[in-house]
Amino acid sequence: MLDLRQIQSNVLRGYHYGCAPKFVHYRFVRFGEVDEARRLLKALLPLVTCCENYDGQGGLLAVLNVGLAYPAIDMFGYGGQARALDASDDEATSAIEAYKCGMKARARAYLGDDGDSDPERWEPAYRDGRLHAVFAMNAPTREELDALLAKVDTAMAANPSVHTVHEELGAHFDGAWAGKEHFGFADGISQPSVLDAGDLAYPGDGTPTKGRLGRKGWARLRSGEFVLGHTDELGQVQFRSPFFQNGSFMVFRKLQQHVGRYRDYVQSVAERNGVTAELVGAKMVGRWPSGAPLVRSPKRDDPELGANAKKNNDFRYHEDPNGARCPLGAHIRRNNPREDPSGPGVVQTKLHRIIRRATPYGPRLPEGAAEDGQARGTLFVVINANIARQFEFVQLNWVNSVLSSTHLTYPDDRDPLIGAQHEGDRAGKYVMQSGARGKAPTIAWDLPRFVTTRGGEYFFLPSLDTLYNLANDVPPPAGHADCPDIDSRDARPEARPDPEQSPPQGPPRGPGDPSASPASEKCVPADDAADEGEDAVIEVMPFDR
Amino acid sequence: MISRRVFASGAVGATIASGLFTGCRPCFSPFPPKHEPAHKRGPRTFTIQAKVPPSHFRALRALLDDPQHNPFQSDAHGIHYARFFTAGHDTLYFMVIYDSYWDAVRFLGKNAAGVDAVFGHCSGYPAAGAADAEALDAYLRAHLLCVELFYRAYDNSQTELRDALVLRDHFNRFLRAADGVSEAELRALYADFVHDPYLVNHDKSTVNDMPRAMTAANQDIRLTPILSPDRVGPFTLLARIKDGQLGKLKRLMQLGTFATIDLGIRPLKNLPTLHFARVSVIDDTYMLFASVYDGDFIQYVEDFGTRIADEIDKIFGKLVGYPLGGSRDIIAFKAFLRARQIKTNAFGGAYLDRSLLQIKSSVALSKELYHFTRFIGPDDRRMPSKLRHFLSENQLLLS
Repeated sequence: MLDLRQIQSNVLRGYHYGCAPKFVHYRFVRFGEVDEARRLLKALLPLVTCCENYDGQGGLLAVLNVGLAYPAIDMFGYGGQARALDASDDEATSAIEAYKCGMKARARAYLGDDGDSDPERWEPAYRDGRLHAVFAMNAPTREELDALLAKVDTAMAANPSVHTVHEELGAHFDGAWAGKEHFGFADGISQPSVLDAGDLAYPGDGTPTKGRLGRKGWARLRSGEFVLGHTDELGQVQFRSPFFQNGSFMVFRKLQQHVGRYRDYVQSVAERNGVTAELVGAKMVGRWPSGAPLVRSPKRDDPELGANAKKNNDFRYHEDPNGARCPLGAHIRRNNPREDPSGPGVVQTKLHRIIRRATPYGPRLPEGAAEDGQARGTLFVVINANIARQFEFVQLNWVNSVLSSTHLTYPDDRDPLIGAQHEGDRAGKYVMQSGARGKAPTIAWDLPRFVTTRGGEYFFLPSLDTLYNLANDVPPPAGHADCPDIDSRDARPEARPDPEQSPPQGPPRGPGDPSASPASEKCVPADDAADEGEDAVIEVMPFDR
Repeated sequence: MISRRVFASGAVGATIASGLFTGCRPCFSPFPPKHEPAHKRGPRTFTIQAKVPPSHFRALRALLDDPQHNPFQSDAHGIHYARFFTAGHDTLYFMVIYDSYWDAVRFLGKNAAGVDAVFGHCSGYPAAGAADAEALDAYLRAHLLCVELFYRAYDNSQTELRDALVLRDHFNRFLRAADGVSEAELRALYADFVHDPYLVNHDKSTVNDMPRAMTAANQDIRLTPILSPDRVGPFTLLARIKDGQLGKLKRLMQLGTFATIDLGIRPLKNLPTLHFARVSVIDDTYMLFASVYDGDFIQYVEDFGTRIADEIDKIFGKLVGYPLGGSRDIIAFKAFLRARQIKTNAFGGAYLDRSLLQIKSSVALSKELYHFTRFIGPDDRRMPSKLRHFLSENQLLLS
């Protein structure tokens, strides 16, 4: 069982469709002096909510969670990774690279942020300099959120060197739009269910299994995929050190949605092909606006099915191998291919699951209204244990590329909803496979970009113990202090010499072939890193005849 | 009733006789086969191993690492991929995948300016450089490194692939233009498409209507350097073979349990992202593995570990430092590959922006299109409905 008193509540609680708190407030701050930052954390610590508190209140309270970006950890004296990491954390040292670099440095190469989404066009708060921390506040009512906000304000006022860089406000819609995002689709269905998390697991949320007596079931994902210091789906425990134990990584992304553009486009495709705009939209997402999956209800929306949490996610793609119901490139099929016969397979898919937490911001564009130019979109948060293996992998390989399915073959065709579409000659298309014999597939040509990135950052959500240690300046446990810094280890390949196993060239932990290895866990140009080690490498070359 | 002896001698005789007449040789037959099996068509490869004097090595590395220096700048007809890399501070390797050996020689000759600068650092390189085809040929033959195992995902020549890829783009353009138009307009557009010069004769059964030269469309095929992380890239690995495992490794590769071009059992076929793979043994001590793959390195490693784990374990298990858990232990396997990976200094390919799946589906689509356009003309009464049928049947090739 996970220690729910240690894990911050936004790691494992309140992300399911219908369970999310209505009002969300993200405050991004930059610390000035270390002592004041510690004092602020100390003042905020009693307010920080853990999973157990959350359960005790049934989720009906104002919630504060604290995320720290890498510069803050560095400032608190845990930087250079090694002192915070356990010496045996091999993969963790590479997994942490993404966090260390920050989102902006990796946005172009890994997240597909180019053109309008280019980091240089982000909002100034995300573009200019690194953020230090985020205070994420959620509450079911406005009043409770304001009360919590007042407490945080008081704590911050006592520490003037901590200044607020930016604030984001989001709120779920009311009435018929409750639980939906700006394009009009129910959001938050199909979240991974986590082993030992102590919450309800809905069919379809985990990994498809054969089950006992030939019955098919769904297995929960191991907790190490989302909570650090626990066994993950590879059977390994990474981030063993007390500093990371029970923490998690949080990706924050501000995504602007071009609702008018989306509605116009869907309408034009529908008119040309003689179908309804609702069907075209549903084919792009893979679900109807109510959340009912196309695999289960291919012809029309089924609000009853959409509202039934036990059924709206309980489907498998082998029922629809050729995409006749849910097209092969649909948003939900790309982002969670399950056991899709043409997809990457269960073994790979379960290594790349993420917990999503999306809150709309900006006013809703009424049905039928023209684009009014107002900023609206989603405050998108991802919880995962390994940013490079989970969030970035999905973005790079499944959203903005074609490797999710052996039937998807066109590299220029990307996720129709959130993909970074090309413009001009290379504009992507979206093929909606037809089920009827003799009926040509419907092709949506020249997909525009419906979602633009406005900014974002990677944060670490420490456990409550770690927050306490940071706030009270408790030194890291002995034994970590003299562990060499990972940067210097990279530059000194002979740090762990092993003549039998040494590679002929290149530092053992170096970035390797920068050209061949986009996943080289570096955000700096890898050429430089490779050159650093060259002089030292001569000693370990095996070809000295 | 025939006796057992007569039956046995009859069976042996029949088996031997069948070898005489059918051309397939029973393993114990004293007779050679009637005809040598013809070489399968398709891309082939060689690897050049050239020694670099110590005094030249740093200059060579600097040249290869210089982003301004692209050794492959001009026409690369008949070349799929080429790469340079160095290992051991005294050796330069050049690998190329080509349609015919002379394409490779011609390719080096045409890129003499860039290639001579690199090979110039190696001892024994002809003074006249790559422009002198005869001397170059002799040099290449003298420095060939035996390729123990070669895997390729497709058997098409470079121009065929290029034609198929271009044809698919043209067909997409045709579909884009034909979206929602009237029948008359559709016929007009189709009439244009039927005359697309890239619709070539696939089964070679009839004389090609289109002059072959037209398919080249006077476009130079150049090898382009690496595009982006999610496109085709090279992977090169050099690792020491465990003591006493060399013979086993060689036999394994020659048996073809892993992948050889002439065996039907090809586990690598299960990898949807691997274009080519080659294995050589260097100095009976090291194994050199080089591949061309699509996309992200994490994806590549996971494909190994989840799709062909057993075969990978058989080959790579003979290497020093291979993880105990094999390739199924993805983290350890990735660390193993990373630690033994060597930098590919220069890499170019003729179609680096195309994934393997796209290449395969383009080839399949161009074949289907050839047959369709041959039988259905623009004036065919039922052309629109037949086109819809065609799209319906081949919709997986379009996405």
